[in-house]
Amino acid sequence: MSKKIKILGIFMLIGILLLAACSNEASSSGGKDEKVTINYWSMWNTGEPQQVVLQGIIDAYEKENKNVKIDVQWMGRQVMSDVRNAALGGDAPDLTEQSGAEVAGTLLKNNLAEPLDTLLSMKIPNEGTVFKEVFIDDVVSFYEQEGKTFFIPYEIISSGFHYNKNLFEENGVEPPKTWDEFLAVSETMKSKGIAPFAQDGNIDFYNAYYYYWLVERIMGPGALLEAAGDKTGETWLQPGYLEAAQKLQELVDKDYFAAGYEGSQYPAAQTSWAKGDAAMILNGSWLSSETKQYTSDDFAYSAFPFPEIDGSKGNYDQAELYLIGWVAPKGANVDAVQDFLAFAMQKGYQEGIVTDTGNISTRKDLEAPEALASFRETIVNASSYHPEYDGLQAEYPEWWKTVFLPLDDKLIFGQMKAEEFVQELKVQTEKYWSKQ
Amino acid sequence: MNNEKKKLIIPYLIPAMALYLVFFIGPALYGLWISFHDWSGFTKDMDFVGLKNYLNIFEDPIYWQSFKNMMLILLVGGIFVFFIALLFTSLMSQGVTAKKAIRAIIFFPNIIAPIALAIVWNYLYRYDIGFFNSVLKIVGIDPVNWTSPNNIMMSAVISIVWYSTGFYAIILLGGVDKIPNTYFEAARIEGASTFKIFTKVTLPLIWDVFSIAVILWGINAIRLFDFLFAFGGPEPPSRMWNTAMYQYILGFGQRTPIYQLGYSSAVAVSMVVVVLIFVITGRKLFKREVYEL
Repeated sequence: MSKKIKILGIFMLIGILLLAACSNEASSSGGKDEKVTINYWSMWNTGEPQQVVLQGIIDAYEKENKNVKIDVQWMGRQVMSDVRNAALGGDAPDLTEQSGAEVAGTLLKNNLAEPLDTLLSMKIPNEGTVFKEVFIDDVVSFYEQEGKTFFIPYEIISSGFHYNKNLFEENGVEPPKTWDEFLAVSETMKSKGIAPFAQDGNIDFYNAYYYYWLVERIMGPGALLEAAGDKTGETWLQPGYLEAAQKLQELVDKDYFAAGYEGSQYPAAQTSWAKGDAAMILNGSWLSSETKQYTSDDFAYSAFPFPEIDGSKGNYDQAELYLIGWVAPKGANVDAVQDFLAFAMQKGYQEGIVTDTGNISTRKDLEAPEALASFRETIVNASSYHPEYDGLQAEYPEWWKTVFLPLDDKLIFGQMKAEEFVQELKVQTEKYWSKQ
Repeated sequence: MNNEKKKLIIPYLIPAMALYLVFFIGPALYGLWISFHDWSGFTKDMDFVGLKNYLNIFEDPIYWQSFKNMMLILLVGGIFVFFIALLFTSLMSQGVTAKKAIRAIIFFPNIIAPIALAIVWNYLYRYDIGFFNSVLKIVGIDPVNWTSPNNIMMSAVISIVWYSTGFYAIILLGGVDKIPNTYFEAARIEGASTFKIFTKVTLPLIWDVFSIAVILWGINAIRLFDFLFAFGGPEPPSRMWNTAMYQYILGFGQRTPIYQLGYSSAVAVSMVVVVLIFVITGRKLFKREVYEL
């Protein structure tokens, strides 16, 4: 009896191992189909407006190209982590998307993307226009590396102050262009019992908008990047960085931020702003679509760029370009991907980015939603572009997350004075680089 | 016969052991190997850096802030969890009606997904319209900024204690159920008070269960991730990180492409060391004679 049980046990073990081998064989034998498959891992979640627009484009493309199947997975914002794991195993998707900064900091930095230069000279189907000529100037070349194009943007985000036009009119104020005008508008709102600024304090990169824009205006684009990359930390002691911190401190000391902002958990503050509890909010241009459901019928969305500061290097016409776009990881079926992207950039489909998602399209022949018209105007007429946060997220992500953002939060919450802020930046930047 | 039976066990153990080795021990050892390297995870190129990642931990202020948050949850949270759990145990062991219903109620928060709990607690803590501040306003007290930088970790600990206590109370109650009623009756006849019965009869007899519950709490508190991550919002700020979150953000970056898998692995190894120290210390501290029932 015991011998029979032993034999049974050995057969069970062999059976388990065989099953594992068979399932492996089954999953790897699926490649005999002649259909071309484009594996597309998207950063959007199911149900988001961008997902709906892109799914429409995919359905239309598959209808016109019966031999092509686009196997799309709506992965959410963490998509680049998954792409990384897949790339390591030699199984990266053919197409993915994210912000230009994240694509640059991950795939481009590690030479893990395919160049898409052929696409630039392809014709857009049903339009006859050359692909690269449909874009707002310089947008498609913004993330070029060594003269090659890897990143194809389809959505532009910028940041500035969002406000309710009607609220401003009721209180007799105009959108400010200069820092002094900005302070005057804030003071007026405060005197009328309206908090000048809403702020979700738990989002550290939202908090960082203030200091980042102040440095952009006072010292011009590239100044933050230069200071972050200085291994001695000495650059932080230049007067412009202190001036920027002092201006931010001024806003905090004058109590311009809505009560409880330090502890406000997203999206509490932005929904309060949408309901009229605060006058302005410094945020990305995605805000209008994110808060639409909370606004009343008489809420008139508008936005203005960060004010200029007299006598400073930065100008109103230096636009921030935060781009969302596509990239083909190494090993992708480049021909199939380029054909799909040429199709996707048709005006009829890109209109969805404007009308359905409420964002700015990269096509120069598409107007922005009314709420973002002033952002688009700045971008189209810009004398120069800089990436969001001066490119710090892509270039020095660990420094950004572990040195800058915690200190910036202390400054904006009034837990640290401007002088101490720049001193700490100097000291901690030096320490950070000494450990690398 | 016994020898034959023992030999029979081997073919049945092999599949489970193989799976355990391949999916648990193997990756853990690989993680230890990665911790000696500087590696983003995007390519196969790993730069061997020896103990550099571990040395960096000692000088990393964000690590020690995360460690402090972890210890806050472990120690402060643990004290409150077991104080309340023991209180429940004491009351329930003295004879109470609707015991099963009460057990179900105190266990209920444990069956809700931590992410859902985090959303609820975020609403409760809201400065403007949250439940707690609404109550404070009604009684004429100024609202509290529950999730301000200075308060957020304690607020998180309160939430963690709220949803965790039931689980550990049930474990302790399971131990109490094993105690024959005659022990309590005898103690009452002798004139012992409720407190005396609990400290002299109940607690010594459930000591082994209590020590296991404390060890379980320690392990869970040290590696806590889901609730805290969800509570912090779409991208929790560094002041809220515990070591588990710091390890995740270093390795997977969220939207900031840090991708320092080597350093992240070193942080993970340090957490394993902390768990081991806690378990060994806990076992030694709680070791005492087990009373046979």
